[in-house]
Amino acid sequence: MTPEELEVAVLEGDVGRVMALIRGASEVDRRAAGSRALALQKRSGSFKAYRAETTKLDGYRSRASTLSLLGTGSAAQIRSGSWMRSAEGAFELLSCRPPELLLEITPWLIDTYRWDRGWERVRQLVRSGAMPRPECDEYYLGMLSDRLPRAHVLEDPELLEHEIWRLFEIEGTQELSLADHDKFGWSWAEVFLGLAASDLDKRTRFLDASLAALERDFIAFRAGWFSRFHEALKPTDDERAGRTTVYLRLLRSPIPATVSMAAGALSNIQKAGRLDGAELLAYVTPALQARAAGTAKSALRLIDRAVRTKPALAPRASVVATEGLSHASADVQAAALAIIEKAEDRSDGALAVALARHRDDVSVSLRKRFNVLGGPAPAASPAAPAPAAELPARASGDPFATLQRISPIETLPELVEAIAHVYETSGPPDEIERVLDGVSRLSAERPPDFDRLVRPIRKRADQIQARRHPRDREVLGAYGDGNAAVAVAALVAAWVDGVEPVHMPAPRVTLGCYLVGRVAEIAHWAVARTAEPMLAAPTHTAGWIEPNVLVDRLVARLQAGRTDEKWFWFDMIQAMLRLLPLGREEALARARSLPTRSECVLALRHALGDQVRIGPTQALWIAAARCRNPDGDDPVVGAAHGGLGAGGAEAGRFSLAFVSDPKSMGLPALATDPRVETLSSGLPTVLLSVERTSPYGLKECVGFIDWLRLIWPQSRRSWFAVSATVFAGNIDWWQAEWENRRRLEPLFEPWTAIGPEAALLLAVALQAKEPGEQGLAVEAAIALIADGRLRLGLVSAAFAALEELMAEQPERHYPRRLLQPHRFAGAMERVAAASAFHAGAGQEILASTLAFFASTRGHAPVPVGQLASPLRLLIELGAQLGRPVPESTRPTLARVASGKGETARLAGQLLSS
Amino acid sequence: MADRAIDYSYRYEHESSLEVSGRSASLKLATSGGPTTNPRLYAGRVVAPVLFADALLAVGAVARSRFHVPAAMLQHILNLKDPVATATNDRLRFEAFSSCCSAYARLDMLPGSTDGELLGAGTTNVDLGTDVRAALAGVFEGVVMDLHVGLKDLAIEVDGVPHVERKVVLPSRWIRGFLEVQAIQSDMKPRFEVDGAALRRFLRDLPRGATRPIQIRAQGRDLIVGHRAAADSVQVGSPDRLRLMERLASRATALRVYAAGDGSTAWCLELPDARFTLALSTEAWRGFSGEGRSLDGLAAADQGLVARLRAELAWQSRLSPEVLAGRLGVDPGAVVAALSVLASSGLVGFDVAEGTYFHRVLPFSVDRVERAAPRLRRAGQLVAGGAVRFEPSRAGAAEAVAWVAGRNAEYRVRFGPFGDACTCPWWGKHPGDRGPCAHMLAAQMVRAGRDGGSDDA
Repeated sequence: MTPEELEVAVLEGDVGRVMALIRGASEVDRRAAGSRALALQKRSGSFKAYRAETTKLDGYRSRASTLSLLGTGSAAQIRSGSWMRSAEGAFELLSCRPPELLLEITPWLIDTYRWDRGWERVRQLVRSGAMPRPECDEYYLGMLSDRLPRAHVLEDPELLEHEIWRLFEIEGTQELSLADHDKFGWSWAEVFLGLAASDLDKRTRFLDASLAALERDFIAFRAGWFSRFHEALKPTDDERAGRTTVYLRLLRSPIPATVSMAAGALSNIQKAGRLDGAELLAYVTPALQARAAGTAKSALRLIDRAVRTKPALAPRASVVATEGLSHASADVQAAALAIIEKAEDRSDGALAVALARHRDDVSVSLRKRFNVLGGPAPAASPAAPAPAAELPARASGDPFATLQRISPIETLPELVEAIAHVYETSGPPDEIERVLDGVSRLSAERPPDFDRLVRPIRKRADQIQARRHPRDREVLGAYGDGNAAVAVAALVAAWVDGVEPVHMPAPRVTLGCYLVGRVAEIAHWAVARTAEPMLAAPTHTAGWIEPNVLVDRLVARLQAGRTDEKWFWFDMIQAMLRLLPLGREEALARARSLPTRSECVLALRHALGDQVRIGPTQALWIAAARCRNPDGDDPVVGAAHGGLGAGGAEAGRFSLAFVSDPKSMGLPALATDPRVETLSSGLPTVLLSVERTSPYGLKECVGFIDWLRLIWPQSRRSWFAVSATVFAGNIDWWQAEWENRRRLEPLFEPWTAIGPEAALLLAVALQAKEPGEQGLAVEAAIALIADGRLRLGLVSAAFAALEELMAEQPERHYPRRLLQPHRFAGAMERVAAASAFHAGAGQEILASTLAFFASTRGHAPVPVGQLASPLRLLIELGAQLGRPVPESTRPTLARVASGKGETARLAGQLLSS
Repeated sequence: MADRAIDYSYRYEHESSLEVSGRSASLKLATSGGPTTNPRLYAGRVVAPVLFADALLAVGAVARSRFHVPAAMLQHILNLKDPVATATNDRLRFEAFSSCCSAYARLDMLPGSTDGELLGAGTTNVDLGTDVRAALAGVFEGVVMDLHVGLKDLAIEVDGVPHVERKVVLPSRWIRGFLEVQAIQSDMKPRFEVDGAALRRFLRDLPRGATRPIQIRAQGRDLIVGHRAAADSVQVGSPDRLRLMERLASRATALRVYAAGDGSTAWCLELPDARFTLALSTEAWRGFSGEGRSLDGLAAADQGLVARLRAELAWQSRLSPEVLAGRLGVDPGAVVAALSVLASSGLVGFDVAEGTYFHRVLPFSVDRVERAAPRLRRAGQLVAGGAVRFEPSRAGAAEAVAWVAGRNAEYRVRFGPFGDACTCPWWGKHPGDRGPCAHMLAAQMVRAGRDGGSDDA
């Protein structure tokens, strides 16, 4: 065979000839044609082999080129060939190739994405003797491909003799492992168990191999298969006893399930009287730190039994048991103390040292028992309960004292830098406002190097717009993007080009449309190069504006002859919603001197508390009403512009409810009273009262949520209510909505009143599954308790509302669970740890909510067993504070105590305390 | 730009092993590369075998970790890298760098932790394969353990090939991260110190499955996990990485936390006669290689001093800038800057707990890797292309302004008394938190009157 002959055969698409040539050639001749074959195979794409218009000849050529490469190429040439799928006859040809070459390309052949059933083909080569058994991991892991039929395994006795044992030595990959295979496909474990049942030698080997696998540091998911399989073999006491040392070594495994299995096995060995106590004590220490309390308690039981069998071990056992004192679970600590207490001789110096080391770890409820053994805590020990006076610094009397003044952008270079930053981060919110104001006040400037200066941000604006849906690129925020960068990019394009953007109404009105409305106004003035400060530019952080400054800006605007007020309605609306409650009287006095023909002036005067005639521009007056009395109704404006629902002339009331709408997917929805019927981009306070800000399920970016907070800092009721709905809808973290945690930020604002909506949000967020959401809620609760702004009755009422909601939940297969006592107890434990004052508040909150967690109403009451965590915490807090649970909790405790199990025991303990 | 990688072969004479007989154990760590092909560095006895086994397993865990899998590394995730051991006159050090380039660990076996003989100073790769890890996990209290780092006369070759040969791909990003983490540590400041019990409580309270950054601050004698940034808090991204300390927590007597301004942190666990340091990048997906905190220094390094300093290196455990400055007759600050350059060349490491550099030579050839960060390379190209032009400085102006012609536009670079800035998108995204952008570096080079040759920096 010459390379030329092979090429002719390939180009003619003569598959048979190609195969015949290769079969008949020596390996030297084949390799001589390798590079030619590679070139041909790389051209196979041009044969249109897999396209719709494929001709028969193209198909043959393509197959022939693949075969020619497999039959002649070196390992490197074969691997560098262009994409090839299974080709009929490929493995037949490969069997002619040298074994060492086949070994080299084995991983490539097994690649499941390249070759259909590649592993089976390689296995055929091995069985036929064309190649020795490969030692690469890919060969063994290939057995775990979900495409390998079970029958194939059972019909290959050699496979069951040799290959399977390597599966106990190789960890596997994300896609190929025994754990993964048995979870989603047929069970290798069953096959192995069948083998073990019929062959004692294999059974022995399986027992050893599974333990050896557990000694390798496979990840928990993959290791779990081996511990389950080992136990599925049901080892006898003799078999276990023969492997005692391995079980002991496994007590040091970082994988909880492995430690648990080992502890269980050792327990059996010990019960059979075949565990050496001294040996146990040499190994058992790490198991006392096992994450699962049950495992740690099992290990302590092993120690206890060892001492009972051989009392001489007691001093050493006591020292070892002290490790259990640093376990998170008070139950484990109690079990460890019990072992130490039983030791008659506690004079060992090592014990005293060990006890001293763990003094700070011991739970308060066990402190008395511990002190008997380890002596009372030194006076300066920080472990002693903190004095009740210890309280985090309270906020000063002025809630606005922490606000910082915002300086406006003064120069074009500064503006360009700020815009470049906002483009990339969609924030921070104050910077977005500075940029809007900067464009507004500097739009008339055109220095000589203007084009050069703005070119980077102008070009970037196009790139940002290009990321949007093609239908939206030419218009300004038709869909009300929840992304400030897009809006700023549109503004920059208008300002630099001097062309006003097309402002198209969105099919669904959102708060994104409100931003677009504001930007459209600024763009209008920027195009006209009318340079003026924005009315709504915040003077302070969090969006606040000093009333006097707004009056100044309005005066300047009117003096500049800007009488076409419809082009600054959005600006005026936003400005009023940001007015600080301080200094309003002085500002009103000055506003009264302004011309009354301006509707904006009249609206501002109403916002500041004046009696004026209500004008026709609905949006302007709604904003004035919401500024005048943020959390109350405004009947005067309501008479002229009523019927808009919560956030209109009326402040509104909010609650959660399950609705029958199938679109709700069984999630609780926000109910407003009065109901919001229509939405308008000029009514941001109404928009803030409806659930989501983004249309069509678009994700809100973090920067945008932060910016939303600047719209109406005067009132957070609707914000909290919407946020509570959002959190309740994702309490179990069904969706990774990382941006939601930003919704908790207003809880930290010292000026924000904490009412029922805030308490509801806090109650839901404290039970959130996502650690960050729950952690932030914990921090908020700590701050609010320290500030004295969180009334405990509000929290209790929030849980009552949640219990009511759960009771009314329609019956469904997977009910929503908005009461999660275990998570709530975990959160309250951290709140209580902040100070003794917080511990007291935590005890009251926990006690007052217990009845709601223990409620049996509705289709999905909380299982009684889940009450254990709050009950344990109440016990700890009672011990720490030296005061029992409030009397009002006793009926609930009595009811729980009348049941069975651990929860009843804990409730009984609380009742008797 | 595609990240270059080098093919590297670990060639061990044998697999590392732990032989246990009764209450005696012998740990034989196979070596590859460094001063010789398979150097013998140490033979002696470990004073606290269980602690040492746990610590070595913790180092191995870091080498095997990947908290984030960049798309470009998917091919390499199975090619795990081995730890590196350094033997000097008074201590053994074991270093490891995670595959995701976001976690670095070093175990310092301090004087007193071992009793034996230094056979030769040097740095080498050590095999810490599955079997030896499994054996180390089974070390129990009361065992007496011998340690050999490299063995004599154990060479077993099959057809001229060492008994254990493993080929890996060392991505440029991984090598650069391994190098840069040293300089980044030198920028860290001490923030917290707590005792062992507080460390255990902290790890216990660490939220499970938390993938977003957390804030850590001290409260009394404890470390508290929070979720809001505060003036006194330290941010830790991908906090699950902290669980790498869990294996050693029960034996730790103290924890010291260090933090750099960019959000990278170092966690030093004080152990009896040993120290375990875990350095974490700002985020798991943000490896140490891209931080760029040392770029200013690299751009301005005095290559002559670097060469002279290099000649002074003699496997010191502590490199005192003051002593070296005295010997070289230069300012200690210049020595620190030059040490930072040597760190980026793999010639020194940084011990954040002791606040000093130490000499070690990474056993893989870093010369084959483009050590200059892409930004520095790009800056050099800009300078070479004459893309930088400074505005004439105005009288009394505290600010210097340059125009740098980038790919898409001409960017304005400002050096001011209150900070620097550029109008490029990269700076817009990372204003100051990842070092200077390429335009700024280029302007700096021109400003310093340099010609931008930086590849050998």
